[in-house]
Amino acid sequence: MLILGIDSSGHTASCALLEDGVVLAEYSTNIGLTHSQTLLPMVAEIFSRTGKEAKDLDAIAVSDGPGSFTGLRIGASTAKGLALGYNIPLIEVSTLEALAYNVSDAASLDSIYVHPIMDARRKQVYTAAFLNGTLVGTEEAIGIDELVARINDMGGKHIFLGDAVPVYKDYLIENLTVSFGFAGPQNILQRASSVAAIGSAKLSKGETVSGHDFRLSYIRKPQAEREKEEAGLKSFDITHDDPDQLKKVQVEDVLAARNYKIGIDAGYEDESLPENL
Amino acid sequence: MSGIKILGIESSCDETAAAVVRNGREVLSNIISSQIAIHTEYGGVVPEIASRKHLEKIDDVISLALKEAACTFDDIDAIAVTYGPGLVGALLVGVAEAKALSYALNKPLIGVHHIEGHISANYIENLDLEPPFACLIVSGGHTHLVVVEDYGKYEIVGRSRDDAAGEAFDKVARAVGLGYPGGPKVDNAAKTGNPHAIVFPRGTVADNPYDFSFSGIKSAVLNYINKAKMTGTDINIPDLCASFQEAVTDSLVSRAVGLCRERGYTKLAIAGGVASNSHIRARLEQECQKNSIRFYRPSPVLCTDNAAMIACAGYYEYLRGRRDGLDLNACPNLKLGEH
Repeated sequence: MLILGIDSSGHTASCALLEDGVVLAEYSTNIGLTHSQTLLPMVAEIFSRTGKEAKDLDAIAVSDGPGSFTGLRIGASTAKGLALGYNIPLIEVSTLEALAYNVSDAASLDSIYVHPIMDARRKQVYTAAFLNGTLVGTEEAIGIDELVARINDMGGKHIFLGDAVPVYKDYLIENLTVSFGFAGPQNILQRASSVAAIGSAKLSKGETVSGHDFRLSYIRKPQAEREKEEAGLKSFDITHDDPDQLKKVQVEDVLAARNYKIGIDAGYEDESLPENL
Repeated sequence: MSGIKILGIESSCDETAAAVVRNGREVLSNIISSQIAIHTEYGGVVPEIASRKHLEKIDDVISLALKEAACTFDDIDAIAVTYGPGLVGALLVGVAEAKALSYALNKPLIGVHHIEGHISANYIENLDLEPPFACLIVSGGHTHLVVVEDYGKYEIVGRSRDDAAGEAFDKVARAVGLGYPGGPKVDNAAKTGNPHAIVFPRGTVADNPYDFSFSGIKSAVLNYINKAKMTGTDINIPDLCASFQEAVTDSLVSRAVGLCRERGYTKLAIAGGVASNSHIRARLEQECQKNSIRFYRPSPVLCTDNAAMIACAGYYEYLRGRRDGLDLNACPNLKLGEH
């Protein structure tokens, strides 16, 4: 089984090649947000270095969130393009689960809770707790103070990793009353080898998706959508002509891809824009 | 089927599109997933929502483009993708997908300028059209008057110093409660209005007679509306729309036709979303006829954002030898003629 892992959900861009449970190559960079320019050349580089053929891939495992919206989409559209080109399936891997996997083996030996924390801005972190590699509770965006209070109530031993560690390290040290530590610099950020390893386990259980069905788990809605839900349309002084009709049509239908033929036999009313455009 | 087939991909704003075009001018498929119904609820394009929807739909759009063209990836000679200008998050989805496909299929990748795509839409339905010609580009984000000297070679003669023409349409439509998108709404309302009912200024730019200015027209319209509201006067929306449209059209027509007359061009084309405005089309047609200029205008379906025009522009870049690498980036502020 040959699996390509991809993660560009945060400051790092990372890709890894996993063959039958062995990491053949992993390439990670943490040199600023240039994923659009660096990620695919890095993928090409690991194939060229290992002498493996990309066309022999069985599946591509990619971080499906949470994380930087744009970063996630660069990873996902790269993975989708490769999967479409090679006609292979995708495997959705939680960014938080993959982060926790960086230290899961050691933590499992001593029943230590692993807390990936990713900076979600607005004084929040994307986080979840993992014990012995299993998710405890849900993945969510919460305030660091709320997280600390919750962990202090849990007791036990805890380890933190993720890009929010440098942001909140002092706060954690000052406010945690439980036994805790931080992952080392080699494991603290996203690694595509972890994404690929989780992907491998999911692949053996048949948990793959097509590009058509692949969805990112952003956790957060777009800001405009949140504002609209909170305040209705008040802030946008507009009226649209057929709100009832819009509501009747399911969103999927509204977005349906259609072929708009060109030429005299296309069948449009002359000089008018086709419906839906 | 022989000939060179280009797969075009476009995701710069709120349409996810893919198309297969043979030899630059024959459209085998032209697939669009339009998000307009979603953004209408927000009164304009929401970049984050647009980017999310692009990612969800892009595989379907590409697969359907191949299917409708009765091709497989094996039949494709190169992949052309819009890499700017546009919304960065939206562009990135198409660019990353196109690059990954290009790598997986081992096919050449060609980055295409979105506006160059709009200009090229004219080639698709006019097999006889070849450079040189003058072209007026009017859309929600751009207003340019250019000379197309050769395929891929442009001289920018004039541009808007402030708002794009389409932006002015959107703002006026919003101010009178017609909603989004403003272009078609104003066009429709204006059909029963008197274009000479209200005189709005025609913006001029002192140091370049071919540059445009639409913020003055827009402000005059907004002032007119405010004044009417304050004095409790009813606004005749069809008259207002027709008069606003007339002012914008005058600005566009005088410069475009003026350029052809001054430089002796006998061909004038229009491009971009606002180029489907019926009044602008009719007035240009009229003025071109008077001045013995041949007027080219794409069907409205080719004026809107689509990938057939990107594949067409990509074809001529392909012939010129352009090839992009796996590090091609999205360039939200890409200028015409820049590479």
